[in-house]
Amino acid sequence: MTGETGAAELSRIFSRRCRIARTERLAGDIYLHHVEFPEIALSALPGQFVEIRVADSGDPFLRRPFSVNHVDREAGTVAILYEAIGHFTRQISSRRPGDWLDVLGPLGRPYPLGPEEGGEVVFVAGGLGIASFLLAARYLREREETRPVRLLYGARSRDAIVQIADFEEAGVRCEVATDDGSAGCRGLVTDLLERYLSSSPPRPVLYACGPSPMLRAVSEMAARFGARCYLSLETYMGCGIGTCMGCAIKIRTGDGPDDFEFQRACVEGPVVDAARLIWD
Amino acid sequence: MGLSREGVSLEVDFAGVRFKNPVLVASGTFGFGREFARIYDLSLLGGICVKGTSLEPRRGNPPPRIFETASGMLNAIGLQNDGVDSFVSEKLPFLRQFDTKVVVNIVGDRVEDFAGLAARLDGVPGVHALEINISCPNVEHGHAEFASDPAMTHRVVRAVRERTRLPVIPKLSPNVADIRPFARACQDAGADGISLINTLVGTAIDIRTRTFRLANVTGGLSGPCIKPVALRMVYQAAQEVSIPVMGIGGIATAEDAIEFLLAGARCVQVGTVNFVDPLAPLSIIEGIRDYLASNGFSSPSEIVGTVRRIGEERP
Repeated sequence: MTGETGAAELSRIFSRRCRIARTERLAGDIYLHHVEFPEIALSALPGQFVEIRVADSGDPFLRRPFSVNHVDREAGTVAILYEAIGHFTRQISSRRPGDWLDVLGPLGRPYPLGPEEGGEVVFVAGGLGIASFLLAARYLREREETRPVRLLYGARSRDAIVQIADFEEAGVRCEVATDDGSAGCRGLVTDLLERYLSSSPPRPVLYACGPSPMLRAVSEMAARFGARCYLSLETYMGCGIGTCMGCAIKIRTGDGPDDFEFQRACVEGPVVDAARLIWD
Repeated sequence: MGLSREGVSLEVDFAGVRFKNPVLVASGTFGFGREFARIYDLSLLGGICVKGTSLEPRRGNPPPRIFETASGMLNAIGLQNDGVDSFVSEKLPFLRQFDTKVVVNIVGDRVEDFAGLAARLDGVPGVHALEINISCPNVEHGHAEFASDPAMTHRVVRAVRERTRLPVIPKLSPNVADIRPFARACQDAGADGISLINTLVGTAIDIRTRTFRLANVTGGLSGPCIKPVALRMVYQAAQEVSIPVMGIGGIATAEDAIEFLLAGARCVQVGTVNFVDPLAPLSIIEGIRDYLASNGFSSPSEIVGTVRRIGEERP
């Protein structure tokens, strides 16, 4: 999908105040908002994100990035999935159908999902990191993917697990781990991953999204098992389109200690090759 | 007393450059235009001040580099850029396809760096003016002194002046007790105009980890929260010098921009709001047109510097 990735960097970015068509509460404080934005519904690729603004008042001032969870091309809607836990997300969750959200997108480098990447596709999701994978699962389904597609999904507990049925419907084999053992096995998503990689799967390619400590653990495990691995980074962002240079990530450019450069998580990411990311 | 919108010409002359309207986008908030060109036609802008460009590439500061504050943000990017040669060969050709003016923001650590950049960019097609960035607060080397000592400001501006035929516009720092001697030093050194303000030095602390929010400890504060300070400094500078002033600082709406014009700015730069509302410069341009038309003015220059004290008669 490198061709599509290149095209994504030059393609149109849309910016508009748009109407919320529908909202769903999936579990606890986890919500799904469907916003009317036909251009993004048609052009968003798996792993891309949108930047959302909720207030004119300057509070909160900056936009926040949200993965495109899935799209409905016929209805022209884009779904974002989030947990209402902070100042920003609580403001979004108070919005009802008919209210507005200001949306900018689609943004960022998508997941490279082509068959050259690996023989088995493995999505590794931690908590709300699940948000970035449904579009990818459906994308593969639409292309009549013949490779096995798995989801390894870690969450706090049973009542924080969302969209499993949607993944199964897209032909994804799902395995769950919870901190308290209330669903799936007790433990972390990296426990699931270790068991999977120990079973010597043929040429797996990992796509991971979740909190940074989890991504780091996944990345180290992938290196240990020699598996190709892409990370979707959760990075503090300013503009989301590549101009503020605020979301710098350290990317390896050679073998020496000084062989690195700062790239932009919003443009050269959020999806990066785990082997090139330098963790500090 | 109203005019039709068509009766208004937004064109302005600034330091010998004809801008199609008085709204530019500020350096460091617009990259080299490529990203925003994916959103709208850059030919609609009065001008583009490109990201600070140095002689050699700069890697920039380690993250975290930005932090949101009340109605604004702190940044400590550290002038990450690919250097002037890359600008000329890779960034400028893209910008040349648009019918707008390109102002190159130049940065350096030493007087000779600025002079070298001025010489390198002199006569390069598609470059319309130089903005001398003597006021970035986020780099280590002692170049803060360029902005905090009028004699040093004079030296840098003079060195650039001697090496280029392009209009020279020093960008002033607000991190000084009195802006007027700096504005005066620029004029005396041969500047064609001045722009102000750059960011205000600030910081923020995470009380959970008890660490600074920025790896660089301090950063530059920008956004709507700095507008009153910027407006005051633009007013003071415009009173002090006869060269034109470009107003910068927290401009998010047409009303903000008009305030700067009334305070004495001939042009304005829209900065941090580009990160939040990428279409803001376009609504500001149209808002200025509406304001001029409905108040019977045919050009922005008719209102520049016309603010009065409460109770003061209009001449």
